Amino acid sequence: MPDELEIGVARVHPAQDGSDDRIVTFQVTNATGNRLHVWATPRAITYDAGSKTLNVRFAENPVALDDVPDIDVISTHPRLPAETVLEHGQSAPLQLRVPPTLHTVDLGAPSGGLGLAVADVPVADIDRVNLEIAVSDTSLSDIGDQPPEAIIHQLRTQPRIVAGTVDATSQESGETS
Amino acid sequence: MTYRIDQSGTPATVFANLFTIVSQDLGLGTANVAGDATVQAVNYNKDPANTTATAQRVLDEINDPGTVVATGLPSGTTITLHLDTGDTSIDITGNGVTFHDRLANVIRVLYDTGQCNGSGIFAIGLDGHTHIPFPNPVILYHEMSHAFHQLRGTVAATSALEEQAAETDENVMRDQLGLPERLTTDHTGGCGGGGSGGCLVVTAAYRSEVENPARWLHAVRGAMLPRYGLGGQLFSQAYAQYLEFSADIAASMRVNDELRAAVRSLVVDPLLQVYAAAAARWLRTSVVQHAAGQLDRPMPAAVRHPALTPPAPELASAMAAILHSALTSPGSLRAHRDIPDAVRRVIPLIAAGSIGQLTRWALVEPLALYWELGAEGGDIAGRLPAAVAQRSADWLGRAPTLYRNPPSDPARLADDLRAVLVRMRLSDEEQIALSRRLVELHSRHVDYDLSAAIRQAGFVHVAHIEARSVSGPSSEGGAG
Repeated sequence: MPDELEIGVARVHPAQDGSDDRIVTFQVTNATGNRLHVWATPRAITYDAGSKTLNVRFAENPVALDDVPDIDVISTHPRLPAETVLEHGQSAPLQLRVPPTLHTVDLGAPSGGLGLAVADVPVADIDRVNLEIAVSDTSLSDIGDQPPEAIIHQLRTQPRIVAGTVDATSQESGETS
Repeated sequence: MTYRIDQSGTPATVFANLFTIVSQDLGLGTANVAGDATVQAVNYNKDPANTTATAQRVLDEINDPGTVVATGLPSGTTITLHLDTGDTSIDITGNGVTFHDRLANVIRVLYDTGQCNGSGIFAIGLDGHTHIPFPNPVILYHEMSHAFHQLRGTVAATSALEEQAAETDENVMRDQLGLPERLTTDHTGGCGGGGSGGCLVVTAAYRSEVENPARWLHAVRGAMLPRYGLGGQLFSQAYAQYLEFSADIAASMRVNDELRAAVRSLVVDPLLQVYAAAAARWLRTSVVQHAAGQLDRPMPAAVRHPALTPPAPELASAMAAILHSALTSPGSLRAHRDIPDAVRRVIPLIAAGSIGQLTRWALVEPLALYWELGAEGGDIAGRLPAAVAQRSADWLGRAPTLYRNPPSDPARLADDLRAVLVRMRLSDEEQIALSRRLVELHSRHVDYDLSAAIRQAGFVHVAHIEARSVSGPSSEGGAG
């Protein structure tokens, strides 16, 4: 099945606000004959230094913390995404802010105490961006009055995921984020 | 409950959020944990004057058995999960989560202290659709509520009911902070919108979260005026007046760069300098270390590096003239002719700030002091400390209001005033001015001898002033 969403080349440029962050912008185009609701809030961002690849998920987490053995979740909260509505053939930019250093927490790694093992991941050059983007025929945030876990489940299962890897080009300056 | 702050992630922010939750009570501190350098223990010796519900909750929780570890995470931090199906990364951007870690046998609270990379986090307001701010201390308090229920065995039967219970607790905190309440039947939220809920004009003036001095301002304000007692009542009244005009002006600033630049250079940065001079004069070193050092809120550039080049004379003179009018005959503000465009742009803000007695006193008067010095030429920042010292007693003695409701118990009032002296080095003259103003404003609202309660708190007795040489704040060790 052809992708429902065409993803353009990613442009990487410095943020214009005095921070060391970079802004990554790419164009998405609705390649279907229908209206598409596109998840526009970036979630998990990771970086692979070896391949200079940024991995970004514009979608709900694929698994829940409850799936981890030895963890009993007491409370988690649904987070509704911003969404971009695209008519047939219409394009719009998606954007994310990338700090100079990302962080990862490995819940299973020993830390030497009760604290968690948080590791820094410096983000060097970005040559490509690996994307997972949730799309839906209906609004992603049109959620009824449901229990929190039901909302999260709906956010995870209702949309379809379009995946793709695009090249990234760096620019010395760019539009304000 | 034993609180631990995880030293990985953003521990300074976690402490700052707890400090806000206990209403800036200096009794909150941290200590090393023997044999575990990955966490710090939170201890809390509550100020008797502090009667806020959230502070009491923290005290109750700390005295309860069980361990909670709070970890603040920068936005975008991913959590690696090892599952039978392989490793997966999830994130908690814009979120907080509380869980029982059975391996370590602790309750863990993890939350995004980066506010969605600075875009803000929203919850749903009472009308069911408005996005309201969800600042970090409120997120932490919400998660602490879940942790408390778990440790006490009172977690509700369903997740929806448990959320409702935590959101009801959360609204107590929101009331204290002057934030809109949350709808407790809507458990959603997200990134963006919601507003800062803080100093709207300063945030709009700086736009970038990275250099936004509102965080520093918040730390300084919290150090001087905690959210309880006299300081809390004074601040909440002033903030209510500020909110009446700041949202509209901040909205205009966000779409008008010339206005934003003018407000920043002519109003915000000068006020930051005056407040920094006042903080340097009044704040005791121990308080600065506690509130500024541990809170890790960097001093903004406008304070660290006040403009090396003085403002253009015509700009300074025009600002001084406008501010003089605002304080003496506000109706004539718009009659000023031939003034620089930048000054003309900030007139609506000055006019709005002059309407409320408290904002006129707390915002417009200090700004006028700065620009009076500016109109005289030379190094403004260098002369500010002396100018602040010269006028501070008179300024304190003209406070438009102090308490909204003075304590009905003289011992409580004495506790409140002692708390002021613990934080601030007030000179004899300043203590007398403040004492006189308290009596003028509130003696008829209480049925006890207000002067006696003030003396009991350790304030300089009026009769002593003639025998003393007043040249500056009292020494660090003594409170007058």
